[in-house]
Amino acid sequence: MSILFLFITTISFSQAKELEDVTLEMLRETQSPTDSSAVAEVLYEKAEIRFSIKNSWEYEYKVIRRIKIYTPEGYDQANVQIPYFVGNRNSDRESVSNIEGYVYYEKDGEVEREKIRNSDIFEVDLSDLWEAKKFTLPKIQDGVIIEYSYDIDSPHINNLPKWIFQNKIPTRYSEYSTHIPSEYLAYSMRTKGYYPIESLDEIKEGRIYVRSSASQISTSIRESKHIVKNLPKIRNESHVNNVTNYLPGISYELSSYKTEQYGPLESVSRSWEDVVKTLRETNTYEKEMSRTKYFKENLKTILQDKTLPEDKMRAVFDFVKDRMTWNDEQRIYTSDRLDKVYELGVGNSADINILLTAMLREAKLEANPVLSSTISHGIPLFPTISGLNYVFSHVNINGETYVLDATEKFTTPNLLPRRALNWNGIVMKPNAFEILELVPKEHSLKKYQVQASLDPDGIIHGKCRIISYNHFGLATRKSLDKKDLEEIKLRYENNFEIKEVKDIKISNLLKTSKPLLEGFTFSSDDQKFVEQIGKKFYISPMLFLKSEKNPFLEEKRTYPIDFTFPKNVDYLISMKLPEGYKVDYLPEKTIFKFGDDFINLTYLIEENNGFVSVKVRQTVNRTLFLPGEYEDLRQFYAELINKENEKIVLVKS
Amino acid sequence: MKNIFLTLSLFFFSFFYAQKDYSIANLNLDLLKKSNSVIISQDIHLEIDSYSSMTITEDKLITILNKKGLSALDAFAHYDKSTKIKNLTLTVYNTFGAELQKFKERDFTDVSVAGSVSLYTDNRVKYLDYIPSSYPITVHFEKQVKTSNTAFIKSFRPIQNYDQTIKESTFKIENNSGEILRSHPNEYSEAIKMEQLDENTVLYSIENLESIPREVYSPSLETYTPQIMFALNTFELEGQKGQASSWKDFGKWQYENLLKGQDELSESTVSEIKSLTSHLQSDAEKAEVVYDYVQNNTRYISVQIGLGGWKPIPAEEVDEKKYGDCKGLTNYTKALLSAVGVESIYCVVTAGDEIINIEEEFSSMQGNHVILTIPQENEENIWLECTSQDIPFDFLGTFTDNRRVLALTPDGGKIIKTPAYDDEVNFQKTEAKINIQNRDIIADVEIKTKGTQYDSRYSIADRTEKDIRSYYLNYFDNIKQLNLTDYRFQNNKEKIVFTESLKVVGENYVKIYGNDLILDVNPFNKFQVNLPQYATRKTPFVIERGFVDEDEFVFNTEGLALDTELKDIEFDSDFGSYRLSFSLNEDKLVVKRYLNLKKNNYDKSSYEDFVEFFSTISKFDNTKVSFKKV
Repeated sequence: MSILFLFITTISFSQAKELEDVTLEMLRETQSPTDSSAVAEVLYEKAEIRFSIKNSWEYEYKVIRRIKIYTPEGYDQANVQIPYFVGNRNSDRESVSNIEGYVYYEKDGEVEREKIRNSDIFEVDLSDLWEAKKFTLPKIQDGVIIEYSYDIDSPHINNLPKWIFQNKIPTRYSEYSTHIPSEYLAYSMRTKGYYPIESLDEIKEGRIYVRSSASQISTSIRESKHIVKNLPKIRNESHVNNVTNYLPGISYELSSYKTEQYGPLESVSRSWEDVVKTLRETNTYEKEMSRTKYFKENLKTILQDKTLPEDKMRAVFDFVKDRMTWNDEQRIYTSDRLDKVYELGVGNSADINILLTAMLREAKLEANPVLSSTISHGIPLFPTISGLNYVFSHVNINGETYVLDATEKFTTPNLLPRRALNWNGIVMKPNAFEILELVPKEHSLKKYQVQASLDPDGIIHGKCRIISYNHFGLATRKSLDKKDLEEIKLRYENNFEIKEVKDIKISNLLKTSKPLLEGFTFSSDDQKFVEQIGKKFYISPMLFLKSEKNPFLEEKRTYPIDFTFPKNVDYLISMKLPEGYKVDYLPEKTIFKFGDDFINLTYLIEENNGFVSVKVRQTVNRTLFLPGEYEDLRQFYAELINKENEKIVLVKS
Repeated sequence: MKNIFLTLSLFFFSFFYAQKDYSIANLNLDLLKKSNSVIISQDIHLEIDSYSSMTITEDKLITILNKKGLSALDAFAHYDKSTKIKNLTLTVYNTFGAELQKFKERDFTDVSVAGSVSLYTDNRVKYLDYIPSSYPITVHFEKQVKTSNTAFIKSFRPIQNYDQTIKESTFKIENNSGEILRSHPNEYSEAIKMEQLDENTVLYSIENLESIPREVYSPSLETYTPQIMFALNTFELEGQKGQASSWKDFGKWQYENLLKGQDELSESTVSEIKSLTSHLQSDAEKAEVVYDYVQNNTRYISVQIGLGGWKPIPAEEVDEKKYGDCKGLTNYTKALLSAVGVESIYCVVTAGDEIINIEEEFSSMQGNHVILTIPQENEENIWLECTSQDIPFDFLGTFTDNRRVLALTPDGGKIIKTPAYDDEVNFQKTEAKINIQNRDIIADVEIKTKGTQYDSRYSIADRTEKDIRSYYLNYFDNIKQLNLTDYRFQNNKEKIVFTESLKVVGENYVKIYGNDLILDVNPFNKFQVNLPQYATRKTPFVIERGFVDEDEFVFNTEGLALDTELKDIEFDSDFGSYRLSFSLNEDKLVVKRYLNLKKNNYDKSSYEDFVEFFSTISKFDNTKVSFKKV
């Protein structure tokens, strides 16, 4: 699967650009040279990071950005928000200074410039932990150029600010540069995305300011510049799990630092081994994993009559799912002492699944936490701590392995919630670690079974049964949970566009070890699947189960297409024809295949003794496709949908 | 199993609060099943000490039955320079009535309410984002705030949420200020009991209200549920004292204190705008130029500090910065108009797609937006929305149409009405010439829109090519393989007509089964709204704006022989009318369609017919004919 990221290249360095003076020609440009539909364009943006020692190491993050406005839709670019972290402790606080903002415009054939007043810069809080400076620039008109700059001082040297070179408007020049005192601090740098990033790296002699002695020390400074030029605006598309995975970006994570002046560099996250080691020594993975007193009594009760290890695992898993409610936060660190969290019954993903792991271990099972990144958080390609945001549990019973996530009611052993099906996880064992592939290998299955009969007056009556396994079961259970029959009826009527849904029966909603069963009867004369034109009937053999719309409507595609998990969807439809009619036309049987059987459709149909029976199976074997395959994929789906929409023609016999 | 649990827990709860008779055990359990939360009791107490001091105390006991009910908790309190929080406490009880958790004011998150709409405001809010570990839970929420802003007095509006059962709700208002307090119940307030407790205190109460479900096409709750409004004749707003007992006085006070003197402009701006309009004769022509000038030179940015929430920033400052909020931009436009000798009136309105009036019978602080009107002799007044850069001159659209607004004139306030858009005004005409080539159709389509249909369309022209393409893929979603080969737009702001000229190819639009060639006669304007069928509709419904659509599709049927009998369709109901007619001459099949959906309010008992009306139209809109090849 690494095909995705082979495009990342670091080519040799061309030329870093300095900011030029604004000229009349620049102000008179009326559209972007690369994109005539652009509402505005980043002409130049640059971020620079330098270090100093205040209480301890700190960095200064200096940003300057110049934007050309073309049309009123681009005026929003003049509304600027600079978020910064304040945290709960003074020592965590970042500060913003030197905010400057200018508008350049043409007046009487000259370039005029107006500066923003300090009284027009506001401070707002975004949350408990974040504040922001906000301002808007005056005199915004079509054609003006705006420019603003600011400095953020931060003590959070573990991760330097992430930089995405691409913007919602085209970008002509984007630079990110760092000045790292490499004898003291070492960072691992990661780049990602489809566009080539030009980089330059050189070591120079430099100085670092030390506040305690109000002096400067000489040391070698590693200067890196990363530049991307002429980027189009960001596009968003369907079936992309998370678009930021594919945007050109760069991040720096502290990999080692010097504890004493002449001590050796200490590793933090240079390899996955370092990452696991660093995390293993945190409160969450050291202390909370081994505290057991608070749940001991309850555990005893749960395990009372259980002897088989697998039964113990299920009992503990069900207990934690039942007791704990997830607060929707995806975290790798516990929020508080777990005895408190346990008492309250609400926690983040780490609270709940570390608790689960600790209980499983106390039940004498080989259980370990699995560190991962959810779909919305992106893909951690390189050793990183900040790239991880989620944790669940892994159990090994005599070589048989299970993954468990207790944040949701309907998960089962080896069935993780969809958000967790992202790339790889890291199993943190007491003295080792292991990489675990998270995209399921097993196909999830969904079966539709319909028995119907058609009246001579065009009304179809019938029964429908839907059987959902694995991920389909999980998704359907979530959507049916706590709904009353009236709501479920409306849901069917809406999703399938049928009428008079009755006799709804849902089985195994809570019995997650069994497939989920749904059943209902219906009766409908909807023309979407039965039509009388002249004296003939035209019937969709798949009735309301045919696909209506191509999921890939757009003509072009920039990002990969992700189906998340492999799947089979089966349709079995049997329909009794009305007395006095016979089949005039029946669609052909076919098998469509996409690529090397990555996706396929089998469509079988036959008529027998006044019955038409249809058997259709849609299979997705490969879950990830590249933009280069899009055109064919789109065409494949168009054919698939045309096939599903073909009709049987009935005439009077 | 679930139900037993619920009964049990509610029973325990009623036991726990037995001494205050918070009994909900005798509530119909079927009702609870349809609810997401139950207000066991809500008591609001307003104490007005003087025209510049008021204390509001709220005490709410609410059972949250499920996750959806959590939004009814409303665990927050707004504050600013004039409003201080005195108490904020939230206590959570489990199903057995035992205290689970208690939150004090310091546990609440404290943030600015700026959000994404405004750049800055000094209004702040403290809120608690509480997530229970299981349901049901019962929450006791207590809040007390003290404010000097008595210009706004909270209304008693007991029904604030859908799917909520209310056992008891009271509202006590105690006026010790010596100032006159007025009240105004709406026409749905009969069920509210009123009790004079002493000379200065009145207690309003209501009990046992069934939950109201959220259903499609419902009017907003506040338009058909009980509400009593209050106002003081002498009041304060951000340190400004006011006096008013009628719209005339109240408007006068606002004019004098908020508008007067805010309309100064620099001489250079005055001479610039004069020179732009000097060659024009009528007020209307001048106003159009001024409006155009404002649209081209300013943008909407909101900054609200103190009285700035109500008072426009001076016109001169808007002129300097080229931005302002609705008040600032409206006042600026007014100042420019005045500079060229055109008098206009600043009007306060409750804006939004849902039509909500300023209550004519009761003067009090109301509304959330301002617009401008220019009175015209013997003609309809001109109306201007000053916060948009592209809306046409004298066009309000669905944001402020057809509602009562407060006009602030130098002589005082007046309630006047903004123009309504009638069905015939909200017009769309679609014309298409269609060629059939094998299974594909190739068509030239022209869509013209006016009125509110214009309002929802004209901004397409400003979108990117990609968005335009996806817009039409969705708009014509009945054509599964659509290719938009060309598109052009014309926005005639003068006549307020938007024209879309399109060239499209619909691949595989024509279906061939055996020897039959099936053609859907309405490719370009299908009405396909599938209304949900409720067991019983509980709320009234409303079509706030009607419309008329006319279509003409001309198919070139050369080489094809019709195999179906063509039947014209005429269909009328209380909700509107529908026509579909055919004519075949030589090689042309002409399909004409007419649809009128009427503007009206309807009783819930008509809902089934309404569903039937929509489904009949969608059925007719899917009419197909079959051909054979010649």
